[in-house]
Amino acid sequence: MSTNTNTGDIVLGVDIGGTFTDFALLKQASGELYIGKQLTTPDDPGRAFLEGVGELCKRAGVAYADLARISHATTLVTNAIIERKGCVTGLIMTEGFRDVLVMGRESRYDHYDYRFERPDPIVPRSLTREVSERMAWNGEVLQTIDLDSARRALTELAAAGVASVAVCLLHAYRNAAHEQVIRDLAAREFPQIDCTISSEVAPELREYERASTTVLNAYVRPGVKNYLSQLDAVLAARGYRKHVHVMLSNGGISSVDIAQQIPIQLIESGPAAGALAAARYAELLGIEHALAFDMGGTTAKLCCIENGQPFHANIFETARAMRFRRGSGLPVLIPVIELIEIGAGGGSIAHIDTLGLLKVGPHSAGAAPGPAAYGRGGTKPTVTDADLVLGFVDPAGFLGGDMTLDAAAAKNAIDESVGVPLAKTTVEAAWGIFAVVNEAMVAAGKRYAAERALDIRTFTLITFGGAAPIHAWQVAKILGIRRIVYPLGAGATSAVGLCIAPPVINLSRSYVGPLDVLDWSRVGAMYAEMEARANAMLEAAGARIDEITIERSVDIRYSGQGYEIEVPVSGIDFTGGDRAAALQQVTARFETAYARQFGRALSIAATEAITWRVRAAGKKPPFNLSPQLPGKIDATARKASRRVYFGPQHGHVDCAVYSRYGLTPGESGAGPALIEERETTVVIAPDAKWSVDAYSNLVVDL
Amino acid sequence: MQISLDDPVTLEILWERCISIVDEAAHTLVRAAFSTVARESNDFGCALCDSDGTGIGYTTRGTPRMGIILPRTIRAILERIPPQTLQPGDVLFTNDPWFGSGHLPDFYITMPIFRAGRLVGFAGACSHVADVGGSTVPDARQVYEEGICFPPVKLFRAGEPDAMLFAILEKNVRVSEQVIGDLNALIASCRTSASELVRLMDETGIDDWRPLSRALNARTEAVFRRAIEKIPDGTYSSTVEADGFKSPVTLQCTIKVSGSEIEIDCAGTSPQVSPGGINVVYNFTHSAFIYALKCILDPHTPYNEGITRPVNVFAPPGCILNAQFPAPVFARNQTAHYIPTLTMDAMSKAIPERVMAACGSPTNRTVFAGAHGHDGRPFSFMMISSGGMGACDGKDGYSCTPYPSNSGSPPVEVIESVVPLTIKRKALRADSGGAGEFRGGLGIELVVENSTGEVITASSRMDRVTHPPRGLSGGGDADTAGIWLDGVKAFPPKGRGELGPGQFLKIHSPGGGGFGPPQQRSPAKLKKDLVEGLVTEQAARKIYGAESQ
Repeated sequence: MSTNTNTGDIVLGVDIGGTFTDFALLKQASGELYIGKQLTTPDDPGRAFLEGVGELCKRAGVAYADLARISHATTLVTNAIIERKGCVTGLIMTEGFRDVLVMGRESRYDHYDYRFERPDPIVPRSLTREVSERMAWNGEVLQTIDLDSARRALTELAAAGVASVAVCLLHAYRNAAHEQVIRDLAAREFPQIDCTISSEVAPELREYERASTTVLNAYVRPGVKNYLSQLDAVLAARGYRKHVHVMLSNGGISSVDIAQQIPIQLIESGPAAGALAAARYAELLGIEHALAFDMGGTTAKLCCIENGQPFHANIFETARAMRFRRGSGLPVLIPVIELIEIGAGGGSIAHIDTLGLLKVGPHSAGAAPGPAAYGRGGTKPTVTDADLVLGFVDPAGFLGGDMTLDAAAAKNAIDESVGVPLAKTTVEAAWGIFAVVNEAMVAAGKRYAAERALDIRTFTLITFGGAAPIHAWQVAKILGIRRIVYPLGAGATSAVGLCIAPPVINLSRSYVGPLDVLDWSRVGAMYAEMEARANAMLEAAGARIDEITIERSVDIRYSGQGYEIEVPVSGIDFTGGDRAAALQQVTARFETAYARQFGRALSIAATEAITWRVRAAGKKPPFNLSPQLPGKIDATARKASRRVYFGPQHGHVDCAVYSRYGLTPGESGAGPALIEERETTVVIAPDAKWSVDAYSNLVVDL
Repeated sequence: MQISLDDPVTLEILWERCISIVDEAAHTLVRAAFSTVARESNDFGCALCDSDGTGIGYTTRGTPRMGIILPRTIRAILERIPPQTLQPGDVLFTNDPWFGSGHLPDFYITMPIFRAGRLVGFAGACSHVADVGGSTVPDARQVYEEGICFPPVKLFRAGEPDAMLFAILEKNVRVSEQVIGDLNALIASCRTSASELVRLMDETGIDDWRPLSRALNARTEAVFRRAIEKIPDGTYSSTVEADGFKSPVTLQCTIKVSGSEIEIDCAGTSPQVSPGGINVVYNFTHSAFIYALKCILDPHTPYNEGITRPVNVFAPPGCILNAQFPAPVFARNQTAHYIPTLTMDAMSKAIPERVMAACGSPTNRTVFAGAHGHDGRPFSFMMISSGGMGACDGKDGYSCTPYPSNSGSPPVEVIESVVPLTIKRKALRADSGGAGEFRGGLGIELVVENSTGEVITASSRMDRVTHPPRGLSGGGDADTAGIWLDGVKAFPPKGRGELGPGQFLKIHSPGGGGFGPPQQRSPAKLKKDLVEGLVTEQAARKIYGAESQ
């Protein structure tokens, strides 16, 4: 099993999403990229998987045995959590702390609504047991574990029918000995119970977040183990010679073993693959600051990419009671690519709110009934209906002509819910919907930029997804962004990402203390241990040791603050005896990072370190796109022209329509123009210029 | 852009832009602030006002009540320093509790926004700063003892800082560098608002924000009036007693609903007290009533000042809800946090199905301090023990969740890593939530041990020791708060004591009140409470009338 691919390899990516399963096959030697799409088969996700892989292999003329790697992203873990379909799970905590999951963060995510909903804890109080033991904050044993209490806890949970148990003891990130005792006891005496201990999943400070992560991992692990073993067996039977690989939420692929040990890391695998693809496009095109913009049916996502690296976070929130409300879900301490999710997509419904103002989303018509224009019973106006009425979308050319849109139904829906109540013409109302949904993207982008102290105007927008290419021109204009790139093959971005993602392992360990009293040799030893482990994991997955790059970082804060920032500390010597040098360098790095994020460093001397992190990555697979998607070339680029409404400033404009598949590298033109693909239409603003680059990506300058 | 204020699309977009501007200003404030209060507890606010000082937009971050208070404060400052005396580059400042949000640590900055020489609006920002001098325990007899106070002053004139004001401030606070840093952060935040607003005016061609603020305020006002109209006309009153500082205080309100208007009269409320900084200024009382009504009547609609127009709040001058200078006000939340309970209790007589029973608030705070922390330096730490939320019709209260405050305790592991205390236990207390068809949230038991080898001090600020959070509509009262040394010995709930090595404090936070008669609780829910250990068998039989099992 190898995550390390050679230049001549053929790699395949499969992303099982909620509606579609996407496929990409990349021949690394020639740069030929094949894209496929199937409807997801929720009853048996493997069915669409195998059909799609079979179809794509046939199209590309390769056999299962020719594939150097199949990489997989799946919504399996997310679905199991959101639909509460994991196994019966128990929890073991330190005596006195049974209620950690119930108490959570002791806060309300809604300031006003006292009827706000919270997700129930995955493990109820009645399946939580306490054991007598206690570690101190510095790892010292305050009370040795009472084995009988542990045995009693496991016996009771077993009797209650628990299939999986999570163990989270106080300060186990600092001393895992007691958790290991319970793990070993469970393995010995309760082999029917799968046991996850917090120090193996997320050895980090903060008992609620760690317990939540451990419990979620325990909850999904038996199911994921099962699924991946079965998938492996089925693929082997068809001639595939390797183990399947899995995308983690950190944007790296990993071996099936890691996925089976810590499956909670799969939770954002699909979106991570998409963001990783955007990052590789940015790298390929030499874009220093990129903002990936993806707009699908129900949501839009933004992701910042600097120098080919997507921004990341070390915590994620799942199963939100209110999808777009921070704090309304369950926390997971895992490294994730940071995505800003906005409740506005093509299916988002426009309505008049109680103040009489026009709003779009967060309710979505989804795929069923879908936008009014789909003619499947939807009567409420959506963003897609507005896009159709404005002329951006060709009613006859949707999904390459496979589906016809009903413009009359779209008009009626807009008139009824927006036009008539606001006394607007259909086109004015549609423009209102278009403008309001774009404002939502702009506001999210601006807030994010402000939080991270970024100058968004210097970014290039990289656009993916069905609806983003229709809206990008106005979103970019308002944000002050000057350039937009529309990659070829944007219809199956995540699957493409799976083909070109490197293997990555993130490890972390909390060791808390003021910087000036830390034991630096302990830090050095901790890094050495984490790096040896990360190297071994990557090597076991086939990476070459001499190609592994390691980045170190540590979360630091001014003493007294509640939140820390991640500070890169690669290249600082923690092994030698020079404590003063280590302290001085780490402090300087912290101040630089702090100043970047918060404008300036504070003149407060006391700083403390919390969690030490390692990110180890193997070599990135090659990514050299050939100029064309094979087998998809139109003889003529210029099709017809269409009347399009570009807002009150430009009014209705006769707009040239091109087929994306007929354009060749080097071609260029001026807006207004529509460039149609199978899955979407790229809208070029009246005052913009477009060109096709050497990889057939469309580049638009505003 | 064509601006038509009848156009809901334009209004929506412009409002969103204005809110986006104050959010950016809020980020500027948080980024530049020294004080951790702004950063960690979101105890700050940023707002944009038109040239009359009427609010246009308020940040989505920050404390909710500040959105109501900020424009009022700006207008009050402008009465002292009239707009016609202002010029570009002026910066106005006050921390007078009677202008702002009721205690000295809340600093307010207001900046006139000029475009082409014409006054077009005001940027406002406020934040709780690290220190204002004065006493750090809430036992002052007068506000003078609580720190330094600046009435509305010009901190900058035409861009020039008033060096004397800065010098006076610097000499009167403990961590002057942090405090002046916070002041500069507020100014930077207002500058962000100002420059972005001017940019938006250049982009859109808008030269006067008053029509926009009028249109938006009219809309939020109309929506709130419609919500008020749904309440049956009538006069509804409530009396709530709190522990007080030395002796109990009575809070009283009569809420008169007629058509789309509400009049609140706090006559009957106890006079302001001294000593004890638990007095509330009118501004803060007003915003707390508005906040409570907003929560009850229309929690989801975005709002601005328009919602205050149909509501009139009267509190007799000199009562604890309209404390007069020089009353001590430092810990005004100890009283102000009862206002939502008072409001809901009164409204329960009109719309019982909409309100929430009393919460286990105000939140208990215990400050532990000693000479030697983990690193040998002195330490001080404020321990929070959250109570339960009250139940409402159709919904049990959440356990261990603060309301109306929204700052809970940091994680146990964080506390132990930072200070030499060992938390032996932090657990829900069975039966502490008020019984009811819908049960109140549970309070907690917190056991904190002194793990140093020396004596440390603990100062407690605790209410609800003698006055339990009450149930509504037949629901039971919650259990009270309490604090004991070594589990059994008396410890002052509002005072200070010592802990020897190995001694511990046992702290109880109160639960939330129940809603509806306990006998009507569904058997399935009661059974779940028993299985989950939230209600004991004994209580199930005695209070809920369950058949013995």
